Amino acid sequence: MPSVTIVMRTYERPVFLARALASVCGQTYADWELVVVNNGGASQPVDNLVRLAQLSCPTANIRVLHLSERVGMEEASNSALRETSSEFFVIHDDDDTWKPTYLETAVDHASKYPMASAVVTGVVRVHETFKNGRVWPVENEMFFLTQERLTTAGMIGNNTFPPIAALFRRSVIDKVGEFDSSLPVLGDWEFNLRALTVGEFVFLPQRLANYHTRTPDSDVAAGNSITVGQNLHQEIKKQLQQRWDAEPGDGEYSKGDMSRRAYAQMEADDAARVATDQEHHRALRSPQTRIIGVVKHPGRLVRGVVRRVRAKVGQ
Amino acid sequence: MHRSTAEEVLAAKSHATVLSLDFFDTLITRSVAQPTHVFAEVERLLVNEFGREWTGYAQSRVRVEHEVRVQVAATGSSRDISHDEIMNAIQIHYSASAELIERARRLECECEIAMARVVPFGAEIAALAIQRGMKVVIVSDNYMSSDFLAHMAHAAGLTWVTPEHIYVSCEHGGMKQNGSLWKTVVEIEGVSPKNIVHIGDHRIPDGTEPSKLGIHCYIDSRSSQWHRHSLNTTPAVLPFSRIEASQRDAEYEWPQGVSRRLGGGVVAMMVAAQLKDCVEAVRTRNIAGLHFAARDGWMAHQAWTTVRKQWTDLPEASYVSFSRSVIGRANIRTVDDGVAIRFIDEHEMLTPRRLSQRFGCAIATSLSQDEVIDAVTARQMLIENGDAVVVASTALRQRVVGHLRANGLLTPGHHIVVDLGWRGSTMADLAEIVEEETSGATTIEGRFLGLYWDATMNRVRLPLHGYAMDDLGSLNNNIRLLGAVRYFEFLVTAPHESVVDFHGSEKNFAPIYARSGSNSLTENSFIAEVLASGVESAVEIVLGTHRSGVSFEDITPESVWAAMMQVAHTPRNEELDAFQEHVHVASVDHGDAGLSLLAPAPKWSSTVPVQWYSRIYDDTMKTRWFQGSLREWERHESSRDFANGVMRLWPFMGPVWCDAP
Repeated sequence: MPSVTIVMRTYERPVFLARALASVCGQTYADWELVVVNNGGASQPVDNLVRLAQLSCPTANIRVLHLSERVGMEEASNSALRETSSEFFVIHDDDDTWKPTYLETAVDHASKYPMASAVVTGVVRVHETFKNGRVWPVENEMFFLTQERLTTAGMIGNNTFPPIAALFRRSVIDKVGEFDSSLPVLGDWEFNLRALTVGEFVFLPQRLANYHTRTPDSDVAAGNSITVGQNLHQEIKKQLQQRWDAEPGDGEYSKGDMSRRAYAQMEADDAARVATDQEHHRALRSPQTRIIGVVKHPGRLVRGVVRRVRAKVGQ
Repeated sequence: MHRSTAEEVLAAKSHATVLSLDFFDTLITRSVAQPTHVFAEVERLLVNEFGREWTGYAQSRVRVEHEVRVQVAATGSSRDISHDEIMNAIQIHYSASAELIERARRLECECEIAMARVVPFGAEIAALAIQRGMKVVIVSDNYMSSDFLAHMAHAAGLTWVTPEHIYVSCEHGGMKQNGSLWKTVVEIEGVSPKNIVHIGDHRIPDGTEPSKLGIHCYIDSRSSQWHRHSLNTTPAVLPFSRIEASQRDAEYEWPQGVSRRLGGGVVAMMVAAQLKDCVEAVRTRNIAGLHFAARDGWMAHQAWTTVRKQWTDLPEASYVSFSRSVIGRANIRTVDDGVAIRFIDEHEMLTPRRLSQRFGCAIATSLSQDEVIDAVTARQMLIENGDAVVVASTALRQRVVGHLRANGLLTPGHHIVVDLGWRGSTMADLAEIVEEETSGATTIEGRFLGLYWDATMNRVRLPLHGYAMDDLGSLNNNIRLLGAVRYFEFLVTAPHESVVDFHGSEKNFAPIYARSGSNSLTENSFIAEVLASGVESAVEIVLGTHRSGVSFEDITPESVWAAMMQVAHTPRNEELDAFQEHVHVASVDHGDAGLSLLAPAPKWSSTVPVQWYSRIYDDTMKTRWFQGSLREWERHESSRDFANGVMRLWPFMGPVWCDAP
């Protein structure tokens, strides 16, 4: 039995799926199994890509679970997890990627913290554009994540990390149950908060996970759930907070109240952090320079890169 | 260039009674190509001993030393800094315990001792001076004590060196760089400056400043000219650094020139990496065939064939010479906008005649066959002649299939095809041809040295693997690779031109090459030397006989990437000089004269409007060696401001390719 089960949910995104499979096959850690959950999409393209992955990675255990009709993301994950029994599991979305040492490092760290529910690594957010089957990166953003944001207090206000960053201990499911299949989005957030009740999340600052999101000018079919479904996220968030109103929280506040208050505080903290970062960057600029314009890069090679241009004063 | 011998230098100043030598890179060097790489070795040891938290130590060590120097200089002091000051600052930087920092300090000292090597010229002239009864002293701007420097000299075999012979800036309160240490030397030695001959490697501290006092100076920078950029310091760079250090030492006996340096250095590492990737694959999997493909695979095939004589478990491999042109054309089923865009670059100016040659069929048009047309017109003309193009492509496909069959690429099973890079499109076309011709009995997998983001879309067509870099790498590294692909294509090549067609069965589907024939590139002595030294050194690396000590185990994705970036981002002046004349032919039919790898700086560089930068960036990126062009622009006063402007916009294309920890 492999020590890690990787669950990869997919629906009609072959280019991303092919990339995600390459990311898994390129891991330096070999003791894993991969279950690709084809969530109601056409079977042949998925089978074909899995065949290609098996050709280059013949010793790996890669299989496909074809769901006859499309179900929620969380039910798709549960379907795969029910069929496996590894010590650890990871939800690897089909549009995300890992650095080659992700699994090696995360499993190594998890073994050092046997009481932890999960190990979460640092994340790079890759803004990319997808058009006509072609995908190219536009900008890398260092995703803000700290150990504090992996505690209940740090996470109850908002989901603080994408699934691609977290390696979970299987025993967490035995203790707190599966992902909530009734949630169309934010199922990972809800699960994380339950998982935190039975063990801490250990943070590894190394940025070993790439969280890919598409720029607004990308083809619609390539969108990811957060950037495309903003309104749905807000709606489900409200529903979850109302559900938590019935649960005890901290002192006089219910868990739902705690979530609302924490979210407000997180928004304020983030705004302050962004302002501080901007101030820091301003300070870094030489007094000999000033901004003279904004160039929107129209190039065919690095499309969409927006960078500020500086030039010497008086030039 | 004639360099004076030790004998000649001393003979020219026969009245001198004191020989003064700079220490580092004049008397003593290291077994790595630049001083900061000692810290890379320290980082490697720290990570092994204390874990990944020490990743990036080497870069921090370089930065902290620089900061300490800036702080001392800000006080107006003319003194040098000490090793203790640097390590104290490191302790603050890392918030580490005194014990840990002491361990780092000791490791650094141990590495310096272990890596110490004599500089042949320095050692020779010192020995000659001693033989003639001259006093030999060492004058150095350094943070290490005279005791330690003497210890290093002993470790390198110079037993005559004693601390009393050494004037080191951190002990005397003055520096060579500002002249103050030279006054101390003259005063203590008690001789007229005219009776001192000094040998060093830096113009100001070893030339200008001592000359002001009347000391005779001789500058020999043969060691220090091998330095690249101090911040590109990481354990991954060590294998390439050791190879360059061995080249540096060898060149004291036999100057080799840029072509052999590049061939025996970065090219050898790239070829060795191609072999490493294949050896790992064939030893762990069932492979029906291994094929080194296109011109990029020629050197690796040569090396593989040689290595197999000793490593008899390795399977035989073929060299399949094809090009993106023939494979792409053989896969044309209909001619649409996509095909037209793929085969006619937007900047190309063509003629109907050349279009006919490119597609192997008569292109019907009302225009004269030699009338120059732009890409838009040519693409439209191609679409209008779609039927003829498809007929020609179908016939070509039969010849391609014949060539593939003759090379064993159609035998049933899974085949590995090796290429240099960069998108996998040609390999994907090849995979489709092979699968169709064999009804799926034969599959292929593309293994490359580097892939960038356009490979992602081809991953749905075949398995692709990028050894040193792939499309899953960082954005900055994707762009860095893209900027250097033409440079690498120029260096890692074959002695023949690109394949434009294949003969029929009567000649066993042998390739037909562009222009003058199968061996035209060997007439280019530069390329011939790159090929010869590249294959020779790659084999030595693989078999563990390379004089640098670099072996097959040292070839890793990280070390090869580091080597590629070292030469692509920080070319030395002589490397840039050597590439002034070299062109790269990128057109799909290899039917033009090509473009220089180094782009000329725009006219009126200092006043280029900001809105032009993007266009220049694009054009340079698409057709030239971007980083080399940028370094060339930096070298010249007239284009330096422009180069700096480009680097402000795209800082990852600056000399520092090693991202900060």
